[in-house]
Amino acid sequence: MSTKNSIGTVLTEGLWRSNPVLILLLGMCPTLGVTSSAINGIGMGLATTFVLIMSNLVVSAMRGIIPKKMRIPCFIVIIASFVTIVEMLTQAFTPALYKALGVFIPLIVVNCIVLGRSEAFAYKNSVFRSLLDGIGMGIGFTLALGIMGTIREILGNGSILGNPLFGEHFSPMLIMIMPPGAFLTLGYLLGLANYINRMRARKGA
Amino acid sequence: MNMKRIVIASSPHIHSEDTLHRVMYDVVIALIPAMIISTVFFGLRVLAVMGIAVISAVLFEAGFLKLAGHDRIRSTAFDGSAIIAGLLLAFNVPPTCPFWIVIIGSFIAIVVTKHTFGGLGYNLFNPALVGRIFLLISFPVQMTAWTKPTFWKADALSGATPLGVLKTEGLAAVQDMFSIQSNFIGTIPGCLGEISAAALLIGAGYLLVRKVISWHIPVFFLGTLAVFTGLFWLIDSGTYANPLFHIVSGGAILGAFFMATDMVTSPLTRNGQMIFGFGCGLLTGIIRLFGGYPEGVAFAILLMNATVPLIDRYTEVKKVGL
Amino acid sequence: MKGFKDVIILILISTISGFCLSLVYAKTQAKIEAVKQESVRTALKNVADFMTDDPKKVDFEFSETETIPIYDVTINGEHLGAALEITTPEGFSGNIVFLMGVNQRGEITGFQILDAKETPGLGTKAADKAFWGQFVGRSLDTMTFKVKKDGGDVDAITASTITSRAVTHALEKGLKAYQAYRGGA
Repeated sequence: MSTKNSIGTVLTEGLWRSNPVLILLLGMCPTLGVTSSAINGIGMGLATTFVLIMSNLVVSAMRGIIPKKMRIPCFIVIIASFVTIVEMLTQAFTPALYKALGVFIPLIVVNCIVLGRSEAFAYKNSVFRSLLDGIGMGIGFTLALGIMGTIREILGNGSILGNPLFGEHFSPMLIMIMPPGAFLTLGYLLGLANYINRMRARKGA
Repeated sequence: MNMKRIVIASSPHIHSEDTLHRVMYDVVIALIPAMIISTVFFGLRVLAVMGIAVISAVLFEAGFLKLAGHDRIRSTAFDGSAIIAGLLLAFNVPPTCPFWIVIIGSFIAIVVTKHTFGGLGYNLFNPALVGRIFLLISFPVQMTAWTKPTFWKADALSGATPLGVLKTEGLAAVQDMFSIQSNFIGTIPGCLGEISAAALLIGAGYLLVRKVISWHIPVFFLGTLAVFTGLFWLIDSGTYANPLFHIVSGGAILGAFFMATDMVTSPLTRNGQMIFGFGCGLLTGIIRLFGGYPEGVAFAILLMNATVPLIDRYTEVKKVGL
Repeated sequence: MKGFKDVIILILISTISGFCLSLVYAKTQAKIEAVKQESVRTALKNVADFMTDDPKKVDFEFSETETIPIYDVTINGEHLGAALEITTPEGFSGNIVFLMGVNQRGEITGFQILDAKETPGLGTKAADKAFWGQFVGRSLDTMTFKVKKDGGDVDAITASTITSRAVTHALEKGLKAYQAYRGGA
């Protein structure tokens, strides 16, 4: 599959054309669960990016050793190790973020996008290409979560990155920082992504 | 060559008098008694709330149709469905509701609930109720700022709704403050259109006579609510209010006759409608007695809206001869 | 024997992973402990300005069923006050856990919510000083711990009577627990 792509395409694939959230619809659980503010979304995105890059690197470096039949357990062990490392690091150095993300940090281990990239890309490609793929996919994921978080924070809390945007008398739409707001925002973002893709296809044709 | 033009059309070939317009305007007529009562009890601001809700709903409808490149914008925007959605939304907010909140509610009802799902006939959920719930969860302070009916006077006193008092203060306090008669006539704090059971029942009677709605959903809705709350009342009448109180309080009558019966979001068959009504009544009772919110009608109807495709599937009339 | 080789590789990967994890754990553990203690210390200092860095933690048996953690501040034998960690089940949705400071005169000095699941925008306002500020400086003698609707002195949060009541009752419980603790000490 993507083995023929040029290096530039490998890097940018995850930003839009195969954006994990907006196009592939992978990793929905953290997308819906933690994007109640921009900083939570971005923090979660960066934590996932770290795990993605590291697991892609290790899986790709070990692709000659990891036996085909046992690859999924091997991937999971590798991914789980990096997730635990992220968990310990955030707990030690960014305790506020650790508290905000809560159970979703350990849950990165079951994020489909991480296992998906190991299986579909890193296991079949060189270390360098896997690194680029991890970076691209990670940034794409972080961007999507950041946009979700920003939209929900502005509408539901009247602030960006914790800075109040409007006056004291502004009443934000609280529902947007609650679970229904996550579904609404994701739905409209997916609609927008489809719309842009359709417009592009029409222009290309 | 004096041939009659042959019109080729898809079924159904026999048209009933029931045009969309007639049905929609009958609903508006049926809501008039409640509008009058509300205006008398809460003052002229009620008219402004209703006006803004209806106008914004129609504008959002027309605006969306234009964006989507729809032809016949004018006739579709004025087919009555947007007007009713706006009016019912206004019925579901407190009389003191700020105008900008009403406009947000219209947007949610028309653009998010109705047109995102494909427009008239395709929406899964009742637009006015989604608008109400969105507002209630988003702006809990403004959406629960109840006032006592003051008969035209502008100096509104704040006061809790009977169901609110029941939830936070208990049954004895409700019995001190409100009588069944006041709930029936409507001299109680509450949403703009839900206060007067009497006025709503007059309108409901009109709809039943005109055969715009059938009795199945309202009767099963209110009947189930009465039986459910009645059971608890029989067990412990010191804690639980009697079933009549539950029927005439809050949005039960408005919901049962005007919102659960919405053609688009209720089941097609009679059996399905009875199941739907039963579910609405049961959920309303459960939420009122054991839930966090004092009132459960809107949540109950929306939850049952979600089950309509399933109900339709299991109550489908078997086709004979196929 | 091919399956055997696969298993060996999986065991190897797991072992290496475990080894790396233990390295990171060793490096971060001290820091994590410090962060945790720091956050407790900050919270304690927020509710009581007389708080020292190492208050004496006592698990006070307030009743047969309830044990309240009390952070007692005593310097050179002089008791200055305490911080109490109160849990109340009366919240609108689930337990509300908070920390309250009480000085030696039995007056409330501060309040901070540690854990609550109240409705955003309504019950969560209990964490705002606009609400809990009215309790500061008050004691059992100078305030009736009931919301105004129930005939007390407390201004309830708009549309959140239940949360207001829960916090008010729990503060009263905390003050009584402090009295009992001082009486028994």
